[in-house]
Amino acid sequence: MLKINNLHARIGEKEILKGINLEVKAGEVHAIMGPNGSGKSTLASVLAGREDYEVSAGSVEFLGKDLLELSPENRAREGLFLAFQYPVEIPGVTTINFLKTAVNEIRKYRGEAAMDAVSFLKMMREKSQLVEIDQALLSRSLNEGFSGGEKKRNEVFQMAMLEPKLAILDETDSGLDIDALRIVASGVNKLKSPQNATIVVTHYQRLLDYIVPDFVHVLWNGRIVKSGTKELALELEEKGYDWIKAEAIS
Amino acid sequence: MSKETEILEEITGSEYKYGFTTDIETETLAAGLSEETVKFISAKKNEPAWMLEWRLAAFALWKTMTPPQWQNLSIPEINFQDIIYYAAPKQKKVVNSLDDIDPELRRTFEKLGISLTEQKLLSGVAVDAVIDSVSIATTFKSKLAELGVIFCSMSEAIENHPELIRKYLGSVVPVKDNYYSALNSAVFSDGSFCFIPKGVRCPMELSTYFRINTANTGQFERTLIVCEDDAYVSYLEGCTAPTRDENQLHAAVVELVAMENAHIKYSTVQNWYPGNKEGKGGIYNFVTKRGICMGDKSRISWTQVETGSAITWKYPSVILKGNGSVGEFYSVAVTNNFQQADTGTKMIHIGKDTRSRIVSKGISAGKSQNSYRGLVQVMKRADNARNFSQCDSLLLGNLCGAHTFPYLEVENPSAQVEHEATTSKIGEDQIFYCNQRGISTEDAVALIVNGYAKEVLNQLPMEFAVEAQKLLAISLEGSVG
Amino acid sequence: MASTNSESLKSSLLEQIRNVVDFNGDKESALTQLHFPVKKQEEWKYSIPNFLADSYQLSSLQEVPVSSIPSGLPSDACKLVFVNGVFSSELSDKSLPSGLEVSFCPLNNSIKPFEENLFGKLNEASAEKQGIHLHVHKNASIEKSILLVHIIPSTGLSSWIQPSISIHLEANSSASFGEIWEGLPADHFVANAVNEIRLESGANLHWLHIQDGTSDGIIINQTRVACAANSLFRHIVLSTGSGFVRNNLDIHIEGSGAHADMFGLSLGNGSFHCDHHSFLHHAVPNTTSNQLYKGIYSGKSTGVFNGKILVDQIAQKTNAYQSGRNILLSPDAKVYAKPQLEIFADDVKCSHGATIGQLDEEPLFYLRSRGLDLATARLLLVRAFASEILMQINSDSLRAYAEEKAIRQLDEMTKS
Repeated sequence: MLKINNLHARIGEKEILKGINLEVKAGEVHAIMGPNGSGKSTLASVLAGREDYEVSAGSVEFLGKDLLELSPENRAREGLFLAFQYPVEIPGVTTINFLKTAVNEIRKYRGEAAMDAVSFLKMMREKSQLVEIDQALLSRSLNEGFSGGEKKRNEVFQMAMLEPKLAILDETDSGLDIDALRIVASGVNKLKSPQNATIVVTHYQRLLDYIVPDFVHVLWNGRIVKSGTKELALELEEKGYDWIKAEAIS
Repeated sequence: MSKETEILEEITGSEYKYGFTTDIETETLAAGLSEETVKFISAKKNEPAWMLEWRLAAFALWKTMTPPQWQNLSIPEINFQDIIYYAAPKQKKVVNSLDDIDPELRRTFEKLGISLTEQKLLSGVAVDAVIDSVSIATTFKSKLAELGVIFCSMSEAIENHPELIRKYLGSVVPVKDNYYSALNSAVFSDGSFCFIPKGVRCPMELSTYFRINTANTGQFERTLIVCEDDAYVSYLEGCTAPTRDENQLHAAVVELVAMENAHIKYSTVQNWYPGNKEGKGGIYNFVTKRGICMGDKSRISWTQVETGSAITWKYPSVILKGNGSVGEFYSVAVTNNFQQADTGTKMIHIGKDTRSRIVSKGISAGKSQNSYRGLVQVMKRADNARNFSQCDSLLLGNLCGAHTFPYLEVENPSAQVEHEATTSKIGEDQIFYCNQRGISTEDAVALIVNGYAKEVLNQLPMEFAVEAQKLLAISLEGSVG
Repeated sequence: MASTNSESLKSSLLEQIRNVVDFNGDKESALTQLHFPVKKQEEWKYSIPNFLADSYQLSSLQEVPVSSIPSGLPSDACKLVFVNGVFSSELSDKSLPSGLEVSFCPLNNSIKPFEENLFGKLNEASAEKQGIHLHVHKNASIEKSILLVHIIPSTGLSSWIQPSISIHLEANSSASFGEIWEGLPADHFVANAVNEIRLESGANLHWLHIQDGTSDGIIINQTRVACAANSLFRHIVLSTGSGFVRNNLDIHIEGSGAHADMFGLSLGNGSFHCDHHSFLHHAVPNTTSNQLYKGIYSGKSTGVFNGKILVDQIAQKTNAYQSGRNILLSPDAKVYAKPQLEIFADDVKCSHGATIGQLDEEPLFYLRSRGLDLATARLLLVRAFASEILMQINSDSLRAYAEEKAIRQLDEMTKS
């Protein structure tokens, strides 16, 4: 589904990704871990197409297409979803209206007819129950005045509504207490299927207790320096990142 | 960045949809302004002597006045002798039924989305249709009359309700108020009159649609709305004009009077021809709008969506005379290309326990200049006055300007006056967030602008909200959920 | 239209200046075109100085013997004394901190005022004779505060004085100035002051301006500032008294990375009229500014705040914030505020807010419920309100000096 080959990216003069290689297949859950500043969030942003980053080398193939050639909205329409670490607030625009626009734009791209109000509302009701989000929240301005937990839950709700093929969760656990974490994770788990894939970007192992990864990669200094199974995450939890760094340098 | 600019241009640069002209036989007075012009207009309307005297006095006063200079606008010199002061479509003098209206005129209004056909009337909205200098039809008149509501053209009101007109005309906006109000008082040709008697809650929206059709014509309409004790009315005003290379002048006066516990809600969607992309042509909209909360606990709300006219000079205001009265001003002003707007409000607190609220959202694009100018005045005796003002400006592109000129004058220590203003551009992170959910940048900008203006758009009656949304190139919230 | 009265005042002043200074045709013609302000002028809408005297003695050029300077000034500061606007070397400290130079020099008027007015031009005309220039050398970091102490001795006549001071901070220097109007006479007077301040790149200037007087004088102060790249300018003004004060403060931010702070505290009592006119011009990208003006008005006092922020088209990434907060304590006090934004660049964050109101009921009630009487509770709250400005003063001794003045005035105000 996703093939990242020798990906380099910079912001201004500073190179942040220095040759990432990663393959994600349908049905898989990959965790990308690493210390602060290792490039995790950059990788998520580059995949989503944030223009602040310049890709200086490498390629990314997504469902057979050159992802890097696509505009951010077309990446989304192709089925790539980024759950933001810091979801923005858009005053005056309700989540409902926002999502209705997004859903119909994506449908249009795929050559499907726009959804009528009744089926849209029905879908919304179902999905909101699935991710345990309060309906009242959805009639409010997008993320405006939401708590950290509400914002993250709203991200997962949007993911449920847009039904992506590949979801990238960027530090979705940051700022969540244990109950919120459990709800968010269970939402993500319910959305998992053999047809879609998930990349979980996180600093802590904690989230991986709830969203169990098939593979764990450690990112450090712009490269994936170690890959393994979920046991690797436990090892990191126990030993910290220093031994990985030492191993990478030697 | 250049892509973003392109998209912004596309969004804000869509063609003016109402730029067509109606080919109809028109009776037109030669251009020029003199006492004779004033007499001609008055005679044309079979006005009583008192009305003519009033006009002539206004004209004499106007000649001694000079145009205001304080606004943040660059207004080319206007030659008032080049303007046509009276133009009216030729049709049968008295239209007894809507079906008698000239089909060409009917088609004109249909193209503007206003049906004047009996069967197709928008339920819940009564319309007075004004083209150039005259009102051609008013719908639902008899139905409203059953409740004692008077809704007719100003010409008819002068003829049929002279006692009301003599009492209220010029009572809120005195002839001498300003240069353009004096000019209007001398040469106004038509407009609407609404009178809601005591205790009546007007069951439908009253609406006037203003259309300038004839070239070189100035439109000088006069609107007067009086709400007696405990009465309520919601009034809507819409305006369009054909695309022409020459500038045309629109200098209206609107007066509102709210008696005890009365509520007047006045909404405008102004879509005058704004000129082309090079700034050629367009309407000069120099309008004086003012309401007085005469009675205790009365309330006047102005809502305006300003997208049109080449130059806007307009300050819908409220004089809060009655104790406990409330004044509101909600405004979205969009300027693009070479448009200029200097608009805002005045809230004059005279009575005790008066409250006012100002929400102004300016959106500037292209090479336009958009200014908010507002006055909040708390007089010495206005105990416990409250005001809150929020004036935000959004800049789309870096060739335009956004300006805020609030005046706060407080002479009573129990007042609480708060003013806040911000200037910003659309956040790139907001656009990216929308992109990531599959929404194109063009739609994202529209969505965000819509959200930004929402507080004001929410104030519009349903019938108008739709037009306003389209005007902002936005699909409004609330269609779902 | 200027009234004949003010026209004759103008010509009398000009004649007095002409007696000691030659001025050329250009200056002459600029002066003939300008008049004393009238209410119709937008910039003077709320503030017209009331010239009480029929004629004024332009005493700035006369020798007036003064034996001592006011007591109570901070002792750890370097004092430069101006008598009737003229620098007095006898009264001033003899040793200057290293890095500072004082010389006679006319204003060079290289910073164009936002509002060209007769006051400025009159000052300029006499500046040739009495202008003082303060120069801070490159990299100099002056620890001691430098006080510019203005004294107007009582002469029994109505004085008209015109101090002209220019200050130049070379690159990466830093200094802290206090402009103090003290020892003002009981007689009516007009002080027509102009300061011109230039900060070179990386310079850091802290300017405290204290206008305190119980007389019914008129103080017109026009300060123009130009800030080069990465410089930091902080202006704090404390205005009390019962006369008429008009401050025009123009700041031009002309270099990237520069920042300007403007703070004001006006404590009005009696018939005090205080008008702060600020003009903040962001002329280049990546600059920031912050303004906070507070006022408390009692008696029949009037507060005016007119602040304009102008952001040029090229000045992207400007961050400008302006706030005005006013409290009215008595039925005859008035406040007029006109905060303005003129923005020509899109990638900016600019905002302003203004409030006019009274002390919050809630904390007042809270304090009273803890046993404080109303007057004490009010005093406590107005002091807290004022302290937000006073705490911006960096020198301990100057802050203590300013606080003492503010507290004395607040006591007076809350008593009534």
